[in-house]
Amino acid sequence: MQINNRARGNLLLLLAGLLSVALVIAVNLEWYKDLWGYWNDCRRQVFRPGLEQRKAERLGNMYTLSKAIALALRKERQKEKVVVLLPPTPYFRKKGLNYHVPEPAVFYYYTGMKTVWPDTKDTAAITHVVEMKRRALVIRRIRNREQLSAVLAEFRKYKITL
Amino acid sequence: MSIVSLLLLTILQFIAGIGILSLFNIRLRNGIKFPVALLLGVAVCSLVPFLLQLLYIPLSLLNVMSALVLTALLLNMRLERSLPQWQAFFAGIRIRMKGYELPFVLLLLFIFAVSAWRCYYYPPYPRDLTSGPEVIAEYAVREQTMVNSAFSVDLSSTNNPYKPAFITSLQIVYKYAGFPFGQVWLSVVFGAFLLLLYQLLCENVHRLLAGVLLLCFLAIPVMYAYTFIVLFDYTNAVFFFLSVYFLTLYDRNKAYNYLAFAGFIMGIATYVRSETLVLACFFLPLVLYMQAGSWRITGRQVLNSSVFVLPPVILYLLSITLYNGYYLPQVYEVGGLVNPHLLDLHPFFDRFLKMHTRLIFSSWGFSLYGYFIPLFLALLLAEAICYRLRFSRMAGIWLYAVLVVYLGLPFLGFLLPLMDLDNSTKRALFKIFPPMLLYLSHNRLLTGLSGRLSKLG
Repeated sequence: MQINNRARGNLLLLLAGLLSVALVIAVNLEWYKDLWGYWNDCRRQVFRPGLEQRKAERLGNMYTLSKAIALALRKERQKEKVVVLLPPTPYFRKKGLNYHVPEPAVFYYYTGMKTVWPDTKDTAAITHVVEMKRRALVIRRIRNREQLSAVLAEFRKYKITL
Repeated sequence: MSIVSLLLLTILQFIAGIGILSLFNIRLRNGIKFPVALLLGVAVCSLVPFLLQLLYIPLSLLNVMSALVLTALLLNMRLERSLPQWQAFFAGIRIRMKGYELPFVLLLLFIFAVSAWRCYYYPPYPRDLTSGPEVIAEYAVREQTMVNSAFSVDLSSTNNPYKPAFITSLQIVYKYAGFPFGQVWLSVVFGAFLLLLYQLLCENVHRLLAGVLLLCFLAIPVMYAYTFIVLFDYTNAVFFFLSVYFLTLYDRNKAYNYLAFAGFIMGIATYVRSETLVLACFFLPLVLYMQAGSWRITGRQVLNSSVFVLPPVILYLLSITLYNGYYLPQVYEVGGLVNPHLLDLHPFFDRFLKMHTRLIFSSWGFSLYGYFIPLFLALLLAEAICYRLRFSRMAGIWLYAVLVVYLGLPFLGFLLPLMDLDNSTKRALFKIFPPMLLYLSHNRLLTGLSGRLSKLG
């Protein structure tokens, strides 16, 4: 008899448990939808184990375009020497390119290449500049002070955003 | 291969954790000892590369791993203390689960698995990480030093490289263990914390209620998100909570080793996030009250209380004053960050108000923190009315911890204006939730309901 009571009690508690789980999920539905979305991601991601794929998926253009810039300069075998001047994000946005420019430390993390933003105090170190020309990303070598001053003046019109 | 190395590393952390428990002569039952030892092991892992760096020892794979093994062994050297810990652990391995816990356990496992996968799969994302600890760790593995070429980059846009080396050290260890993105340590922290919370809740309330409460806690959207987005705040909240838990144990048995241990863990929390030092000081009145049993406090008790504050101070001095001042190539002036007008309290009240209007009780706040704060407030109010503000002693201690965070965060925002509301305070509020949860497990309405449920099974 006592065993029956205990079994009945456990069954009641199991039902109460299931109901409670359903209630918590119903109250926090948005969170649960996110969780379920993550689970669906997992099932897809199991078949995409490549490191570069994972970086590109998570970091988007911020990573892929930074890598492309670094790769282009690496082909010139200048990686060790170069310091690249990057315009702020709003510059690219205005020119029609969705590229969130990473700050120098993050760019270095992604690519191993040193960059500066237009507010840098060390302008003498700049060797290259990244610009948009005819809706394409171009990398130019800095030839003289005048050229650099003109580029800096152009870039400084845009607000730097993190 | 990665799974094997993760397993070995976790075992090593567990051994180191048991060693620390032995050194402080802390006795816990297995259900709590296991997750606490794992968390302590993660803390040890975060200290070893940093200490090697302080000694100018190259951070090569061999040096880091052998230092970890050596530390784990050395921590277990006092055999008269560590052997009983191990014996008690192996003698008491029992996993008991009631049938009605199954829905909760399965859901908790699912929640954990999803978090762990994302932690493993995705690269580090937040700029606070990639512009600081992660870039330093990445180049530390290549150049075998934390003072590496990452500091040769223009760092004018960030102060993240000057934050304590907690994450940097762990990232180095896990990268060496075969995880190119590191990060998996956060899943160890999350898993151990989940287990610890469930065990602690089960001590006070029925397992059914423990499951519901834990589920409500996990459903705090932003806090769950930070179980797979590596940053300082989640781990900081875990160690902050752990320190308060050991304060409750000190209050229960009045043994100073528990107070010292609580201080040590608060030191780890300070090592994770240096501002925690200020919150540690906020606990001094409670520590004094615990010793005296009243507000008549002697000089000796004040001296004894320093046991709690000394470890956070030491770890702050090591990780900020010494390391930033004498090891890093560029000096980051912390003094310049402090509000110069400390007598003008207007910004404090302003921040306090905004914390409510913008963060806690706004629609944005509900999307961040879900319904956990209203749940806490409703049950707190109900207990306050039903029991005429007479809370149990344990509930009082947890409420004190809630109050420390509640008042401490606007105070930190006042003291350090750089600590903004939308990012720093938003994440710093994580520290308030685990004490809220533990208070709920001491709420007399819930413990009363637990008594009734216990009659069913």
